[in-house]
This record gives sequence, structure tokens and C-alpha cells, in this order.
Amino acid sequence: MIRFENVGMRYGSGPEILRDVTFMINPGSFHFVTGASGAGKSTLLKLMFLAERPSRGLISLFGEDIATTPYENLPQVRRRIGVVYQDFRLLDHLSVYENVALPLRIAGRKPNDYRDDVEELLIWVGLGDRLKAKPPTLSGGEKQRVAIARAVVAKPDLLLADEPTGNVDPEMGLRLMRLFSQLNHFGTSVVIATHDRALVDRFEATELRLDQGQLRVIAGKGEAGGTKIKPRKEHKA
Amino acid sequence: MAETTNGGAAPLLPTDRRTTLPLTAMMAVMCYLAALTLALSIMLSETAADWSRGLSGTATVQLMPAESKVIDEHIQKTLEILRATPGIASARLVSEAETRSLLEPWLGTLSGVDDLPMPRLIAIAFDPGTVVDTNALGERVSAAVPGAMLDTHQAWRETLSGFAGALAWFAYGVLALIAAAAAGAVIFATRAGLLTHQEIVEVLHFVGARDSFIASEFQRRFLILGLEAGVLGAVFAAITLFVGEIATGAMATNTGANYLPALSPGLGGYLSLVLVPAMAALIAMLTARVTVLAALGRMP
Ligand SMILES: Nc1ncnc2c1ncn2[C@@H]1O[C@H](COP(=O)(O)OP(=O)(O)O)[C@@H](O)[C@H]1O
Ligand SMILES: [Mg+2]
Repeated sequence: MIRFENVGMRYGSGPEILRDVTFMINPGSFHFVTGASGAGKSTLLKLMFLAERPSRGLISLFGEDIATTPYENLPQVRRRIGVVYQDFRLLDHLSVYENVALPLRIAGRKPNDYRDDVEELLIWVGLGDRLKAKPPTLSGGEKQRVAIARAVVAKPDLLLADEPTGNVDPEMGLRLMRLFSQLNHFGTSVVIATHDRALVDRFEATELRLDQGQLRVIAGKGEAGGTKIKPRKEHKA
Repeated sequence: MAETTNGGAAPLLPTDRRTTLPLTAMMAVMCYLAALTLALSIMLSETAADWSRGLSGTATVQLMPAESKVIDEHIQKTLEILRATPGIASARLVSEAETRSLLEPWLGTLSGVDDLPMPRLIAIAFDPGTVVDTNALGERVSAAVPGAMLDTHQAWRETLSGFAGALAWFAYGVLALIAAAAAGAVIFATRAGLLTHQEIVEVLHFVGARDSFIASEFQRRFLILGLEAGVLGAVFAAITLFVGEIATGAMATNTGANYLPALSPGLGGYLSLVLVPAMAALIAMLTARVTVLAALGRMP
């Protein structure tokens, strides 16, 4: 579904942040992108949702080489990808409901058509009573859940989340991870960037480990390829 | 702030009246100037066209003064030629008294003027709608009658239409300058808006919005702004023109200067002001669209 081949990435004329990155992401899989802060996790995600273009190498999304995809087809590609930004990027002047409905509205669907879906999803993430609230009035965890709801509302084929547990307490982090896991069970490929080792160790999923610009694929301990996530029994420290 | 409902139809860009108000005011001033230019140019070119039209249907044959027997013969001959020419509705000898009164402003009412030899004039009215070869006619008249000259007021009409044409071009130039300045202001404001709402634009872009969808959000805003400014400008221009019309009308009556045309744009002039908000809205909308599309084209 997603294929990186010898991808290199530098910002402007700066140093190469990613070097010869090669990996594949299959439909319905679950991956972590790990590495120290500054290792290039966010950069890798940006390449995946077309916010940056690689300096060299090949990136193929949904079977299409993005270098040769016509400009007018890119919005359609983007609509198949849900992104949870590290800083949420909610629109402060819109309500929670409108923020979450945004991808559907942009896809040209009618408000009457999607109202129930959006409300149901917001209830599912525990925000059923905050539909009309504006983002500035929400807590960090609430914003995080709005951002996630917006990323998944259009049932994307691929969900990218950048440090989705970075701003919340461990308990909330776990709840959000369960949410991603559920989505994954419904067929969405999930890629989560995190520098939280403990979080990665809790789950059996393929790890894309970034170090010194190089990427290593570390298979999860579960099924071959580590496509499904299985929460482990909690260790007592 | 927009009222947000569950309908999902809230504007995707926050409406911030306070930041658009100065631009609306500035555009309204431009529209006011454009409306005045438009109405004045219509007014002046109509006046010039009226004069030119009044002159174009007529011509005059001038016969040199001569002894009365000779001149009678000349008059007879000229009238014959003219009446035999197709396209001439009438040819009338202007009486001596009439000729004298025409010359009076130049000669005054001096005694003894009566004894001066007077040229005789024959007034020609052409059939409206027919084209008479006045050059050939003039040559024929001059050949048949020595000293006879056909005056088609051509020089006057050329001067008038040249003046009207130059005026029209000048007005178009001024209107184009105003339009360019308005477009410049809109480009400036659109870029500022893109910068202010960069975060929103990026989110829309990465959620899969097409450039034209994002542009339409800006477009709609500038269309309304242009419309508001255009209506304001046109209304104030109409008021100005109306006051001017009444004032010049009163002045003409008070001074008895009837030859002064009242400065009236006429119904057509007033109606043409409707073009101002329409053009302002169109210019603002298209400029905003092109500006946004150009900016978005640079996004990854
Ligand atoms: N827009 C940018 N321009 C220039 N350098 C950047 C930009 N974004 C990130 N970087 C640099 O790229 C490197 C990797 O950053 P990032 O991908 O954000 O890492 P991570 O998400 O793993 O912390 C860092 O050294 C960072 O300074
Ligand atoms: Mg990062």
C-alpha cells in the first residue's frame, strides 16, 4: 500500500535527515515509527502525507508513484489518509462537531448525510457532550480526541499519528492506543510516531526504527509481519 | 465570530469584520471615483454625439456676393443641381435678412451694413439614412457655379468626434487605473488573509481540499466586499451627480444662460452606475481567486 525505496530527505541544503529509507506498509497493518527526538519521525510522516517531497528515491502511495501523480489527483490521495498532528491543528473558530465533520464536508458530502456518523463518532471518543464547544475551551486530552476523530471520520485507508500520546497522561495515552487498535481492526493501516519506548514495548507491532538517518524494520513479536496489534499483559514495574 | 451550529455550514474562514472594514472603505472610495468617471464620460460623449448628429444631417452652399442678376442665376443653378441630387431632402435659400442676423454677432448693427454685399447661403438637409457623396457634390456645384462652396461642417464634426473619442479613451484609462489599483489592493489583502489563515489553509489542504475549494472561500469573501464597496461608491456618486444636475440647472435658469446644457447624466448615465458594483465584485473575486490559486500552487 505504501512503499519507500531508497528515499533520501533533506530540508533545503541542510544535512540529509533520512538516508536510503526503504520499507513497505501493507493494508490493515500497524506500525510504530520510533527514534530519538530529532531522528526524523515527523519528517517521515510528512513524506507519507505529502507535506514534504523526498530529495531522492521513490515513494508510492496506494500503488501510485507520487512523483508522477498529476497535481489534480493529489487531493483524492490525501482524502485516503487521516493525519493526527502533534499539535492537533484544530480550527479554533469552528466547533468540535464542525472540526470533525471537515473532511466529509470537503469530500463534498451533504450535512444531513453525515450528521449521525459524526455525532456517533464523537460519542465513541467520549466527546458526545462537547459537540458545540470550541477547541480553545478543551483540555489537551479532549483536543487530542477531536484531532483523532477528524483523522478517522472519513474512514481513511491509512492513519498517521505523530506523538499522539505525547501530550496526555499515561492513562489517556493507553485509551487512545486502544482507539487506534480498534480502528486497525476495522481495516485501517495505522502508523504511529513515538519516542515513548514503554508504549512500543506494550504492543506487538512492526517497528520502523530511525537512527542516524537510517531506518531499520523490526518485526513485532506477534504474527508474521506484526500486522495486528495485541495489547500485552501489563507489567508491574 | 460566526454562529456555529450543527449544520456544518459555518464559514471555513473566520469572518473578521474589523480587518476587512478599511479595505471596504478604500474600495468604496475607488468605486466612487470610477462611478463619477464613468458617468461624466457618458455625459460628455453623449453631448458631443448630440452636436455631431445635429450637424451631420445638414450642409450649406455658400455663394460669393455678386450683382443681383448674376447671383439670382447662381442661386437658380445651384438649387437645380441640389434638387436633382438623390439623398437631399430639401435645399432652401436662406433669406438675406436671416443671413444678416446670422452675421450680426460678428458685424454688429452698424449702419451701412445693409449696403455691404452679402454672400448668399443655401441650407441643405439630407435624407436621414442615405449617404450622399458630398465630395462629388461639392465639385459639381463648384464647377457649375463659380465661387460656390459646399460646407459639410466636416471639420467641426471631426474636431468634435476627435474630442469625444479622446475623452472616452481618457475615461477608459482612468477606469483601468482604478481597476488596477483595486486589484492591487485585493492582492495585498488576499495575501494578508492567506498569511493570517495559513493554519486553516494548510489543514484544508492536507485534509484533501482542492485548491479551487479553498480559493472559493476567499473568493466569496472578496465578492461580497467588492459588492458592498461598489454599492456604496455608486450610491454616493449618484447623489453627487444628482446634486450637480440640480445645481447646474438652477444656475442656468438664474443666469439665463440657456446655451449651457444642464449637467445631467440622463437615465442611461444613472443606470450605468449599476456596472460599478458588478465590476468591483468581479474584479475583487477574480483577483482573490487568482492570488489564492497562485499561492496554493506553491504548496507541496
Ligand atoms: N521544516 C524544517 N526545516 C528544516 N529542518 C527541519 C524542518 N523540520 C525538521 N527539521 C529538522 O529535521 C530533523 C528531524 O526532525 P523531525 O522529523 O521533526 O524529528 P522527530 O519528529 O523525530 O523529532 C531535525 O534535526 C529538525 O531540526
Ligand atoms: Mg516530531
